[in-house]
Amino acid sequence: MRRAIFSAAVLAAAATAGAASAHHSFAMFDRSKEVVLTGVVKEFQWTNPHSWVQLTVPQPGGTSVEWSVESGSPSSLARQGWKRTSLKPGDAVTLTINPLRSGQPGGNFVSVKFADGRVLGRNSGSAPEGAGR
Amino acid sequence: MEKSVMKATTAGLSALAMLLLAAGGAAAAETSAKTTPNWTGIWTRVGSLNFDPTIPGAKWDTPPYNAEYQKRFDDILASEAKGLPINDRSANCEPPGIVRMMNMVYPMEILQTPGQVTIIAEWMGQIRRIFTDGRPHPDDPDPTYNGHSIGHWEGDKLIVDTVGLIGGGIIDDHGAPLGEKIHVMEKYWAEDPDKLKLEITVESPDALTRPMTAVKTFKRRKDIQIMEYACQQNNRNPVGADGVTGVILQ
Repeated sequence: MRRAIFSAAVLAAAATAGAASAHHSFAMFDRSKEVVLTGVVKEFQWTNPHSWVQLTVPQPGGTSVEWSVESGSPSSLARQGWKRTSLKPGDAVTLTINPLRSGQPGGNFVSVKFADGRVLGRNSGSAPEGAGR
Repeated sequence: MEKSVMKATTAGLSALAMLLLAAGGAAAAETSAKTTPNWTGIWTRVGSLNFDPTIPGAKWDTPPYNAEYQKRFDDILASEAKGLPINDRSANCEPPGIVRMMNMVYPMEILQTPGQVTIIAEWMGQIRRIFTDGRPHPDDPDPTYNGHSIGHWEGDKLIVDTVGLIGGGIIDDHGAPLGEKIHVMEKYWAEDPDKLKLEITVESPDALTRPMTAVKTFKRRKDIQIMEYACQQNNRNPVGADGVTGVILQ
C-alpha cells in the first residue's frame, strides 16, 4: 500500500517535472492543463528573474479579473525573438497558460495570440541552447 | 693566478648555466602558453538541467544517498508532486552553489587571464574564480557559495579542486539535497575547439555513500551575448514561511 502511494507520487512528479527549472521550481503550475484567457494587457514586466504579463480579463456582468502570467527571463525570451515591447499595455490578446494549481488567477505562459493572428510562444523544458526559462 | 682563473671560469659557467636555465624556463613557459587551450568565450550546456545532463528533464538524478538524505529527497519529490515545491533556496535569489550552478541553466562566459580562469554564469551573475597561479587552498577557508577553487593544467586539461563550500543547497532543479560537507573536483577539456567537456565529481560524505560523477558538454556560442540577470529586480516567487515556493499575484 505504502509502495503504491509512493509510486503515484512519483508518477505525478514525473508529469510535472519538466516544469521545474530556472531559479525556482514550476511545480505550482499544472502543466497538464491549459487555460485560454482573452483580455487586454495591463502591463508587461520585462524583468528578471522572470517576465510577467498582467492581463485584465473581462467577466460577465461588467467586472474584470487581473491575471498574473509568468514567463521567462528577458535573456531567454530575447534569444527566442522577444523584445520588451513585444506586449504593450492596451494590446488585446489571447493568452494560453498552465494555470496555478491553487485556482488563483495566475499561470505559466505558454503562448500569446495577437488580434492580427500572430502567435508568439516560448520554448519550454530544457532548451538545448541553454536558453533557460 | 691559476686559482683566480678557475674562479672566473666557474663564475662564467654559473652565469651561463643561469642564462641557459632562464632560456629553458622561458621556452617551457612559451610551450605551455602554446598548448594551453583558449576557452575564452560564451558557452551553453548541451542536454537537460539535471546534474547528469544525459538524464532527460522529465526524470531526475538518483544520487547515492544514505537513508537520511534519501528520505529527505523522497519528501521533496512528494511535495513537488502535490504542487508544493520545497528545498528551493534559489527561488529567493540565494545563490545555489557551484554544483547546481554548473548545470548551467543559462549561458556561461569563460575568461582566461594569467593565473586565473574565471567562469561567469549569466544566471544570477555568479562568478567563479579558479586560481591557476599555483597557490594552495587556504588552511581554513570561510564557507562561500562558490568556494575556493584552484586549478592546474595537465597538458590540455584543466584540473580544478574546490573546497570551502557552504553546506546544503541542491544538486539539480528537482531539489535533490546536498549534505553539509561538499568537495568538488572537476576536469575540463575540449573535444574540439567549440565543444567543452566537464567531468564533475561531488563528494558529500554526510549525504552520499559514494561520490557522484557526471560528464557535461558545453557548446561554444558566438551568436549570443551574456545579458544581465539581477534576480532581486522583480522576484515574484519567494519562498514562504512554510518553505514552499510561492507566487505573488498583483
